[in-house]
Amino acid sequence: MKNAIDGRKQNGFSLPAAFKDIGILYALIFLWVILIALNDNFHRINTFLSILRDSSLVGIAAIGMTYCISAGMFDLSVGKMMALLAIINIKLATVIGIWCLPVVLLIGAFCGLLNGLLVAKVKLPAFIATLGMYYMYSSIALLVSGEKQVRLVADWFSSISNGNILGIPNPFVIMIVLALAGIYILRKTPLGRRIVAIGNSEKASKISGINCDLTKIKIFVLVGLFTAAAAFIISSYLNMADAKIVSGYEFDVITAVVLGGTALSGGKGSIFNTIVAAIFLSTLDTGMDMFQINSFVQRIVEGFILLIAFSMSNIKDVMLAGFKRMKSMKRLSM
Amino acid sequence: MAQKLFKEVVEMKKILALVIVLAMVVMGVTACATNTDQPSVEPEVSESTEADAPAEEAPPEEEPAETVTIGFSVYDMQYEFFQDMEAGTSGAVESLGYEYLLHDEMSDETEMVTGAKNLVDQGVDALIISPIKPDALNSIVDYAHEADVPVVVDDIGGGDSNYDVIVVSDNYGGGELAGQYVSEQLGAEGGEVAIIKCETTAVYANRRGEGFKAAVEGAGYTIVSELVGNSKQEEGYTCMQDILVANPDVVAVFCENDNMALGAIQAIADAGVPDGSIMVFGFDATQSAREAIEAGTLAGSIAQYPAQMGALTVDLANKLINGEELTFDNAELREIYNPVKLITKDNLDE
Repeated sequence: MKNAIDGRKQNGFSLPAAFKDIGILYALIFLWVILIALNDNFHRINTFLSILRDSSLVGIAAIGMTYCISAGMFDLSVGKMMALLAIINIKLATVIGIWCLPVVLLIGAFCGLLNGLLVAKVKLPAFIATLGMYYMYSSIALLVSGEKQVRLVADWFSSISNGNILGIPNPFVIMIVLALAGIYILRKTPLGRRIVAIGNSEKASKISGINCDLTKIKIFVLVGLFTAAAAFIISSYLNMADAKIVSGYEFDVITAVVLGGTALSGGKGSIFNTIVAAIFLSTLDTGMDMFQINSFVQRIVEGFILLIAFSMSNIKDVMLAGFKRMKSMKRLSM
Repeated sequence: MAQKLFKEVVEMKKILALVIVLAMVVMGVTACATNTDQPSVEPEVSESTEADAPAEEAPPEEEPAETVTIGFSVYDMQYEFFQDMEAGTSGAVESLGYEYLLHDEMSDETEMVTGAKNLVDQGVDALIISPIKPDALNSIVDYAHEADVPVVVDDIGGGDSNYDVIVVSDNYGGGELAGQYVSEQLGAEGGEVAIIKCETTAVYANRRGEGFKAAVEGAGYTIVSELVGNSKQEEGYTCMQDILVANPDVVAVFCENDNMALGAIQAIADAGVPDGSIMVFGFDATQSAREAIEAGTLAGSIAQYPAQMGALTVDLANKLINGEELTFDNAELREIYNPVKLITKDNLDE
């Protein structure tokens, strides 16, 4: 519970602590202010709605990934799992309509269970286990789809992701609801505390009586569930799916989580920040398009953001060490 | 006590988060409120220029100074084919004196849908798109049509979406060119020919074989074999092996793409058949195909012209903006064909 204590200590430095914890939100607001000031396209609500819709495609899966990274693990298989589930979703939706949703969620949970068993019971490092499953899901997706594109053109299906509730894009509303549920699980349930505890120190958690294996399995099941929800939204957004859709999706998801300040080493995670980071990434993407920035430069910027995100926990550690030193010096002087 | 303090911190954070979310919403709303009096689909840029110009001075000409904007959503600028297509498109837009907006799909389906819709939101008067996934076009086309923006699809395919027109290479004509070349070179006495096809789902690629078939059959040749090589080099190789075993007298083989043609010439070489004794054709005229033509192992390949296709899409978009009628090469599928060219040893350097 190292970080819980740290969080309490930092309550003394209210401003720096607040800035450190929701830095990404300041970054997003800063970016929005710049874009609104400089680009006419950002004077239209449609641009923002489009950003919110787009951010949900990554954000929903990123909620699940936040648990995984908070516990100090990775799931590299979410991209291909999403493709597989999207294919299954379209095939099912063609036959049983909206009832495809619970079935796909179940299958997603099952995929997560497989990942979890490999990590918790076969004792493979999460990185290796999910990389292996990445190739498995990719091949299964090819088999299930028959190496073809599957599609469903129906108004009810398309409107799930392309429609609005009270002017707000449906996927964004769904993401917010899921995020609230996600925050509840992470902050208010024993499972959430166990996840963070494992991320802090698996050894200490085990000694203090936490069933680490079971918790890990639950984490991967959660990842599977949120990935299934994302697959449902994405397949509806595109009206189609195949084994190769949205290549590099796992990196988009992990980038959102890490940019949101969840440390790669685990022990700390914020779903709110993950969502804000997903919106930030979408804003950046759309903003660069609106400024007609060359797509090669866009890739450079995206790579740069990825590097910043991944080095952020390190930067934070340096900052934290600084705070600690200041504090201990104060104590000594007293 | 520690527990209590921790709870308080969490509570504080929640309140702060809520306040900030509200602030975000208010910001978003006020940002838009300033513009609610304007119709959201109108081009912003042209409005602001219009608003500025008359205030300063009287309009210089009788013609309205409204700028027309054409948006192009390109498949992926990493590939030379699409770089050429984009150059053709942007060149044609500039020569018309229109504004040009580019969006790169970067081979990503969600990026395609989001970015293309953003182009519509930016107030383009026509949308040109070379889609990474034609099957995902429907919602884009519907969105554009709601804003009265015509959609021109450039190559790849239109799915079953309600696009206004699609420009594709003259695949059938390309196959015919190869077929005619066979009868020119080998004379009209006929002989056995074979076709190695792409996936049966590749509608446009399959037209190449159909064109070839029609041309050679018209010249008195017989098709002895039609195999599916799934666009892959290794499958082109095995298909050619099968053809050599079953029909050793085959004089020409048409492959629906260059990969399979390269596999086929390898199979011919491995079987010990002398180079050039069987005429092999590919499609696309890729760099490796051109090298094989130079080496004499490949008889020819059909070149597509993406820059011309780009220019043609702009011409069509302009006609649609002006409300002109289009004449389709295939009215049912709203297709217009861009000419292709057979590359052989004779015109390799052109």
